[in-house]
Amino acid sequence: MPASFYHKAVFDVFCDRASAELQRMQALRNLQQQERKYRLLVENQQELVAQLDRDGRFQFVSPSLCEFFQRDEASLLTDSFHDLIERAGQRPVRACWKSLDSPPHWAEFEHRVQTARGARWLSWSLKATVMQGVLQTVVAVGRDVTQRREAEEKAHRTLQELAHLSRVSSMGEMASAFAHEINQPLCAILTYAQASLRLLGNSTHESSEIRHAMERVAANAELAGNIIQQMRNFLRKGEPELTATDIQALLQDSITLARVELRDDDIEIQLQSEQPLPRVRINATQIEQVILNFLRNARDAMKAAGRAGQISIMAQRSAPGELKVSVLDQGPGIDPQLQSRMFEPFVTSKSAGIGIGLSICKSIIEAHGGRVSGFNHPEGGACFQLTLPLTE
Amino acid sequence: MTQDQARVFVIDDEPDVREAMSMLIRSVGLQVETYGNALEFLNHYQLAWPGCIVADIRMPGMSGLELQEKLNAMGATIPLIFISGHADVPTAVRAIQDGAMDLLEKPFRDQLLLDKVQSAIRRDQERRTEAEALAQLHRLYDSLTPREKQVMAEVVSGKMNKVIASDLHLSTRTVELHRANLMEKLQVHSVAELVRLAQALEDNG
Repeated sequence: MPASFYHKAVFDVFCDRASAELQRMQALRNLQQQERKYRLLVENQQELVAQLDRDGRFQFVSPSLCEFFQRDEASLLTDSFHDLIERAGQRPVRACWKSLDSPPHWAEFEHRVQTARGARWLSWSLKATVMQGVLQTVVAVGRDVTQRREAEEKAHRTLQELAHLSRVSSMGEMASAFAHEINQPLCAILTYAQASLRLLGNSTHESSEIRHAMERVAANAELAGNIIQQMRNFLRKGEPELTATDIQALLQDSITLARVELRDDDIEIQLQSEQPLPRVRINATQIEQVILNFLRNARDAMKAAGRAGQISIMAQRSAPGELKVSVLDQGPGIDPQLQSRMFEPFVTSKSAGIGIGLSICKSIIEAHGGRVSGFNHPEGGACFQLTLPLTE
Repeated sequence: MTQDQARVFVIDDEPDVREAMSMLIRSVGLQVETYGNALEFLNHYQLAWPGCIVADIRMPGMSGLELQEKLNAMGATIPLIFISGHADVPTAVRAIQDGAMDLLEKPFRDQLLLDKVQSAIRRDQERRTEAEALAQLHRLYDSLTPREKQVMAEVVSGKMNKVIASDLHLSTRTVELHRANLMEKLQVHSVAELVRLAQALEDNG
């Protein structure tokens, strides 16, 4: 029956359409559900999320991002990520952005932002989508890392304060030795001057003798000045600066300082180093402090065992991009019970020690990107080593 | 330079301090010998050499105090003046107890050092003169015969010749003879002088 056939056909079409529409609606609902899910995820998390186009213009910003920078979504969408960050943190983003072009198309940086709530630290990770070598979009996720940064800075400050404290306390130990050391040239200067004055009063004086005395006066005054300068450098507080340093000269200076302390102890210090050694980027005062600490421990160990002898310092390239300094003594070696814990704070074998020397050494060396270790040498004595990365 | 002329022995491990002190002490016309360490000095020094020592109390190797011990053990009486960069009290006390004449803190006034050096040399001279006189006395006493020594002991204890004669079972005449001989040998002219001499011998063993 044509009529019913017609009706059947219309009905089928209707059914198809309805089914397609239903499917579409289902798909849309799924999509909406998914979007709600993602939106829920993005809008309710602490992380600042943004999607950027290839030039860094915002395509999407999370509410957390708007809130953090105290901007509304519409105004942010006309802005670029680069400008936002550079205005807030004076941190060049573009160099970082460039690295997105090459695999793994991923970059990370941290910067400081002045906000209404004070200075905050943000850490960003950027991941780019690249198609056929062309950057398409970038997803940027930012995280407020102020607490972590503050903790790090506090730890850093504590380290510096401790380092300063231990410098000051070793200053106390060294003060009498320094006084003696400065007294020597002063005494020579005074005595030469007094003798010269007396000779000038004699009618038969020889000017060559007085000339010689004056030359020695000048040399000793210079020596006293150098000693004071060394002491000043040693004591200086403040933000450590990394400078390209001649490690050979630094070791020599440390030995000079240590000899002041060792002059009564019948202990010789010998330096062997590979020639020429590359310069290392270090905070010289801190590294000097570590070397002095090693030397002082070596001295204490040998003295406690009633041994005279020699401390050897060796410096050489130990691995590609690494410099190693070893301090070997002729003492009784490291107590096996302390071996595993000796770099921890308040662990000591000395009756009068508080046990922070080696722990500070460890912090200093690790802050330089190096390592410290201590072991008993197969031929006897303790050996302490530090490594420093070479940046050539 | 003769060996019996007073010399100042300067011992210091710092070449400049040593040299400057030598120059200062020479400026008042004294003879100076310098040494870089105590051992070098000890290997060279002879007891008979007069003068004084100026030494740093704190030196590597043999310290000033060890030098003092060695000198005391050798029976050396040469005065010792210590100079010190930082004279801590215990070290100073020990040095003085062990007979060091003086302790000067570096840096010191030139006049102070020179005064101490000159008075040390004077004291050394006096001590040597006294020691020489005493040695002479011992030599004289040793020249007495045993009998004369016996008579001398009786005389100085204040006994009359007669009593001595009966104590020693001698004749008075013999006692008088011994007495005259011993007085002549000892170069004394009165009993009072003899008593003083006996006292000096007793005081110094």
